[in-house]
Amino acid sequence: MASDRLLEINGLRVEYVAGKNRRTLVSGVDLHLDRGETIAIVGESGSGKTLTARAMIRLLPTGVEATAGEISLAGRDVLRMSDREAARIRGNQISMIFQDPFTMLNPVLRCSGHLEEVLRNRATPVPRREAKAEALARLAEVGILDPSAADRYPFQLSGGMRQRVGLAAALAGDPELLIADEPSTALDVTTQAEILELLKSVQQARGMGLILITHDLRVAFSVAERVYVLYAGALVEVSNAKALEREPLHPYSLGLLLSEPATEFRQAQLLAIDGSVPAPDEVVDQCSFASRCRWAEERCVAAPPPLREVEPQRFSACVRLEEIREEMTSVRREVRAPVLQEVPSAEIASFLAVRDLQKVFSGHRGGVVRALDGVSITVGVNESVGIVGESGSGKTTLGRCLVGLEDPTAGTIDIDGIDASHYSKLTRAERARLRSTVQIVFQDPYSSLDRTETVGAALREVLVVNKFPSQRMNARVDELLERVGLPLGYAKRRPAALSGGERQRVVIARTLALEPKLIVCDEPVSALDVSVQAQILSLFRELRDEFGLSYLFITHDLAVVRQVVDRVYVLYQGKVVEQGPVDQVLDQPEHPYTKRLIASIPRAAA
Amino acid sequence: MALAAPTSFRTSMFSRSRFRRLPSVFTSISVCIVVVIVILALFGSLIEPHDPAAQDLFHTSAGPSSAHWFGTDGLGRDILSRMIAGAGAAITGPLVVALTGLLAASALGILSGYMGGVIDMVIQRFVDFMFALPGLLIAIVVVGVVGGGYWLAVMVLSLLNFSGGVRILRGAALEQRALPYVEAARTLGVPRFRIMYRHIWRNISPIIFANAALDFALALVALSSLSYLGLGTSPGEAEWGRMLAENQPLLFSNPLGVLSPGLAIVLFATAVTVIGDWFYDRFSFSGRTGR
Repeated sequence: MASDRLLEINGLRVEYVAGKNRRTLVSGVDLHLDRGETIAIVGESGSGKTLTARAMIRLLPTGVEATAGEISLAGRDVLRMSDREAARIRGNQISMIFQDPFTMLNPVLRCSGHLEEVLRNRATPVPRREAKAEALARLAEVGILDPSAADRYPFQLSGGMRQRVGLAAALAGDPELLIADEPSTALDVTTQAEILELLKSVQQARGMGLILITHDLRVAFSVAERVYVLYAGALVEVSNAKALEREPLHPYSLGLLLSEPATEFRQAQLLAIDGSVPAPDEVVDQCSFASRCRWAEERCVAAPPPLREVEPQRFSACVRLEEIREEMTSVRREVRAPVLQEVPSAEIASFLAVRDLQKVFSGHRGGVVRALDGVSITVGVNESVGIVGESGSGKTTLGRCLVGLEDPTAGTIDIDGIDASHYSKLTRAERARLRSTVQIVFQDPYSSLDRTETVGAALREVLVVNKFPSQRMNARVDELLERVGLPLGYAKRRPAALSGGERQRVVIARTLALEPKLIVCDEPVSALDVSVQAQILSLFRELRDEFGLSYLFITHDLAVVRQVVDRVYVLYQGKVVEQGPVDQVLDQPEHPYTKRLIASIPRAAA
Repeated sequence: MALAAPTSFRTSMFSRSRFRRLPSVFTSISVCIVVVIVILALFGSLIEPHDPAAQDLFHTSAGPSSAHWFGTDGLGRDILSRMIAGAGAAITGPLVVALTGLLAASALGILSGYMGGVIDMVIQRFVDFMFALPGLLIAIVVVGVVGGGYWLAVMVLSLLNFSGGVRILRGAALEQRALPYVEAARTLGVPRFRIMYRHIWRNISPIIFANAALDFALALVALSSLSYLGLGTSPGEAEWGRMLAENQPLLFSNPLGVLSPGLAIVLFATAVTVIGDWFYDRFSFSGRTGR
């Protein structure tokens, strides 16, 4: 008697209502999902994808409410049921797993405890005696076959294992619908692939509905059958996943697809979508993407474009689609044109030489962790070198040793003729010289800036402590801001008023203030939205040509490696396992670990 | 058809600091209390209806009247005037204690947390030692033996009070030290003392000031206790703690004689704490946006 339609959302509107000014966060979202189907909701941060999902499960943050529309789950109206009823369907009919496996689990509960808690409280409770055995069976379903894992605490497990436990707990109530909110984003590449694979197989085995929320179109294509592209709180395109991958029918989807750097080849230019996502309220009466769209015209800002069926099973909110469709295709072809990468000549003058570097940390109870176990690398003048590895490979420790944030246990670091193995043993003048030679850009632009000081003050501080003549100070600050593509007025802003990409630009400007010759970039784009990543990577490319910079890119992202790096070292458990020119290493990997890394790049389902 | 919002989730976007932008009613009342007491302390001598020391032996222990709104004490002194005169002592002493605490705890706490190593160990052992001392008891002994006096009590309290703050600020500094902005400053060549006072101090200043507010309230209560025990202020001086002790026999003839200093101490201490809390909530998280 149950129909095939599991979930249907019509005209959903989510607003922030707690303050004096109501703000629209999501508007007019229609969505449906059949039993056994997988859909993906794709969007950047601020697109409203997470809020849409939270509305389905009635877990909106305080002050945020679903003010219009309806959500019907198997024929029942989710928005109008009582809190008690909503609590009953959560975990039983509909379940959710979250992005961060490190905070998702209760640290004082054993793994089996998380499962038993759900099993004993679900609609059809499992008796206490059987709960433990059932918990073990559930863990086996998500690939945790070792029964002793059930008795461990979350902190004793790796990120991937925790995500599996979280998934098992979400499945313990046998839900008909599972919502996975960026389930793989916080994980290592190889683990990411495993978790996505697992989600797919569990979904098929159980025949449940799965909603995947992600910012990554490639991840969406690899798992989902239908994709909903959300932008500034509104749907811009809904399409069959394969068709969308073949030909996006909205300029935003196209931009999103193109701004994801390719992993297979180096692109001649990295296409980025300029600017950033507007607030939904600013664009209620027009096409939300118009301000960033190269094809925008008067018609686009006159009225909000409706989502219309342009092809069977394909909906787009672009009014000009028919006129620009061919142009969009040709843009895609252009941007996706690979450039042949010149093979770096062997006789580049070596600029940085690290020999047999070792770093040992003392761990718990007298144990030791070998973060770096005899690593040797070189970076040439104006060369861009990549260090690839997953968490725990020692890649971050290596970067920190280079700028003196860690003291290596053994081995030598030679930077431009200075022995930089131990910063503390250097004279003040040598340290100053080193600082104006090597600089570092950290991963998280949100905490790399002091939130109490303005952008201008941050830049001036670096100039002041490095004895820059004060009469040219302001001119120099303007010059730096301009160089990284920020308006001069930003000098008066504090970090809280900047977006992630803008903050990373400030961080880069700050390192440029010292006119370094080598910049160590520790995952410089992984905390940013896809469309912004491309902007920052392009900036790195430009700066390299302009100032003759050398880079050391520390990253887990093979697309970044392919786009901005000449030569790459693959780091695994503190050792270099493979090295060589990028094309050679990525196209013909030799070491099994490198092969595994490359195999884990998400690809559309065959 | 607004729906009841479930309360189980808070995201950073909608953190409570947003709801706490404006002071609540509670905080507003606290600000009023503090402002009134500060005005009384500054201009009290102009407002006092009577000389706070003048005795009217014909009207002792009298209840409220039009001449004496709060009545008189056992020596016929006007209680309202003495309350007003006591406001100064209620502010200056605790303020000195809070400020020395603020300075000493900032300096030692940040030094200890940021520098680590031997410096950290020396400071922490010193703090351990201070913690082992029974604070108020030592104050009583010292003030009792040396012979008392308000400023001696203030000095002793200042010395005994700051170690808790050192612990708190050391923890806060340790946390900041590991953040990328501090590491970035180090690699950019910012001298470490500048990192400490310019970056770390400013980033943990909400904790510093909230802690100082708490110190203020505790010092107010401690100084009042000392006076109540007959230590601290010398006899005859108008001070709330002392009034509380002196007017105890009047509890039934003129309850205001005890109630007003008692209430004043409690309200003032609470108000300062509430303001410190509000300040912390207002500035600690996403706080300042600067457009």
